[in-house]
Amino acid sequence: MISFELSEERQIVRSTIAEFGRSVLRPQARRLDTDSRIDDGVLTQLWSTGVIQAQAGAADDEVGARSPVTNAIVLEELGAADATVAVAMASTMGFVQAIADQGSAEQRSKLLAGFTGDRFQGAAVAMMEPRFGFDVSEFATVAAKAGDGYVVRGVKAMTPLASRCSHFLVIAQSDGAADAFIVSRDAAGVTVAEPKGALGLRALEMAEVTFDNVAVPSAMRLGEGNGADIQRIIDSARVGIAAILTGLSRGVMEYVIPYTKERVVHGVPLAQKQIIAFNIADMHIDVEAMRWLNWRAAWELEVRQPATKTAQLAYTYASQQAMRIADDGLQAFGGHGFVKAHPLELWYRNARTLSVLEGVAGV
Amino acid sequence: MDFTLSDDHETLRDSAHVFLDKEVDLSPLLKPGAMVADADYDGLWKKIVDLGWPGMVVPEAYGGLGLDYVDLIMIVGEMGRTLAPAPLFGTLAGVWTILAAGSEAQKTDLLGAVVGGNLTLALAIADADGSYEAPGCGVTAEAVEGGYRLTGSKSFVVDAASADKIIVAAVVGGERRYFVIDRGAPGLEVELLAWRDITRQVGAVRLDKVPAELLSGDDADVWPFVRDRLYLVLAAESAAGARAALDQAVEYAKQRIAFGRPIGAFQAIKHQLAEIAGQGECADVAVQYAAWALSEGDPRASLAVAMAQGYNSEAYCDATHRNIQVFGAIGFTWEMKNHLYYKRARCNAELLGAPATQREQVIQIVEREAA
Repeated sequence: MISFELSEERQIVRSTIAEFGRSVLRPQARRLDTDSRIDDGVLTQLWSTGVIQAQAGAADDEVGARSPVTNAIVLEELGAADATVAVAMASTMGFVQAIADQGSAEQRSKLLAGFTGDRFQGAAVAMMEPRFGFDVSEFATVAAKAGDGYVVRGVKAMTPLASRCSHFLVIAQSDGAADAFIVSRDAAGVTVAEPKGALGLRALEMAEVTFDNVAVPSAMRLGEGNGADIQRIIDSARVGIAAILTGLSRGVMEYVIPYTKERVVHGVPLAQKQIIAFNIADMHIDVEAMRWLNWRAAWELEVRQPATKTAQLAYTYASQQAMRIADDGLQAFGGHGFVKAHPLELWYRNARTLSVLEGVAGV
Repeated sequence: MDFTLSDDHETLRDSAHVFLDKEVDLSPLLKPGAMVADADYDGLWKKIVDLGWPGMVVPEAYGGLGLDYVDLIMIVGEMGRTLAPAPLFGTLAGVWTILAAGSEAQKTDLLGAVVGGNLTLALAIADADGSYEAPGCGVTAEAVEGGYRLTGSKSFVVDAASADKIIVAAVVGGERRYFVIDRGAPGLEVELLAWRDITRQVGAVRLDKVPAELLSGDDADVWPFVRDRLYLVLAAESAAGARAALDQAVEYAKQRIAFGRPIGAFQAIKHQLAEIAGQGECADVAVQYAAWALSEGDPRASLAVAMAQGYNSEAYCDATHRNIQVFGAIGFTWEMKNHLYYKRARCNAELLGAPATQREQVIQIVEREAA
């Protein structure tokens, strides 16, 4: 039966992560950006939310334990506090979810235990590639059959926290189709480059990872003999980024409202100027639109309906609107918007970066 | 959270789909100079009455079907998809006003007649300048022995010419109240406006001491209740209309060849279609969320319907604009339906106030919540 009500459990998750974001993450966001590094203390704090561990440790029959909708809720709240940390969470979450959803019994038991401990454990889905014209329907990275296993060759780009990952889920062409391979960071032939720096999400230390003829046993092909549904991993990633963009946009709106009520221009508060008031109304409408469209995509993933179309629309729409909202938010602050005394310029850079994280949005 | 429409919802939508595909004929409107009078407005209504739709939102206590708002958008969406010309909007507006303002006896009497298919309604509330603000200045009510007499004028009255009774908002004692008048009452004139959307009948009413019966409700309760539901109706029409505009454009873009390829293969076209698809999904979810919120009595309902109406009417305008662009010159001719959708979209974005009006409401609600 149609319902737009969040369960009590999800409401608790939402308010808990929101409070964590407000009190713990938001105050540190500027420092992380300046340092271009998420320090271990913040990662430990992030880990202490228990979100990843709950998903990694959930039994297969535990209803709702691995819920794309709940993940979208969590990532929106983290995105509202600091999109950089939210992507760090989403990255590991994407890896864990792919293993939990699509891994063989042995892969789940062998790998997921590593994500149930007390210390931050990074991992990433290595999908993007450093070439013009890249799109997720075709990968230059290849996994060639060799004896009982595979040999993986290629370069992956913009991998979050690459140097601190224990594993990568490498998406590669294999036997004419996209497939996924679990590769340990320590495997021979894996090299993580120095981060090159970026406009936004600076603390994420996104880096290229080279796989130079890395031997991967068949047991580490995701899903083993059955292979994996790569599109589902892509859909999940899009829903994750759209959720973070929704949170980022909401953060901008919530920051702009009190300022425009206090800031007086030509004798009246900015908020009473229609151009500002209507911008804020549009932000509110667009954030809701982003959220509902994305929750619909997340729900389709959750009930295992085809989600590709909705997930793509949700990501593209969220990318466009978040850039506009970040821009309007910065504009509302005028000169204060592009100085570091306020987080608007940081959020603006992060929105711009998230919007191209999967290549050229909309193409 | 569950985005699944129930089997009942889908059955309702599918049966409305089949019925309207069969019965709606827009061809008389696809010629130069066509007017709403050519649309067989009342002919379609008779068939709609046979399906019981006039009583769909009337509670079962008054003999109606008592459907919820998610049910309602299944039918209204199909009406919007097909641009079905019939006095449903006016009758729904009248039913909700009577529900909010009428006494038990008035509800039993008037709503019973609607359910029986013997009464169509219209709501005259906007002044000649398009304002819905209370108390309004267009019509005043004078107490006389046995009732009231109304004098003045109202405009933008949907379905006034087809209505058997019109509910008129009039000022009495400095306040806006609601009165029922007979369409055939002495002193009442209804003039059809040259409304550009010729699939919808919109008129002005002039009243000169027209005998009227007072509905007992206060305005503070009545108009927000009715307006929220009419927002939902327009938002549902717009979401479905935008989808129709997309489907038609996609179909055409696959067939029409230019420079040796279907025009849909060109990014300049396909990106526009993708844009409409994205907005269409948002519009669908917005209207479903608003319908659910109204059905559940959720406190976010007023915000949800204002957002849905503001967003969906703009999305519909955008979709129909791009639809004509994709069709090119042929989309600009009388014999194609494209212009009917374009005009419906444009008029839906004005009928209850422009999107700026809904943005104002969003701001007010957000401000109240933040306080």
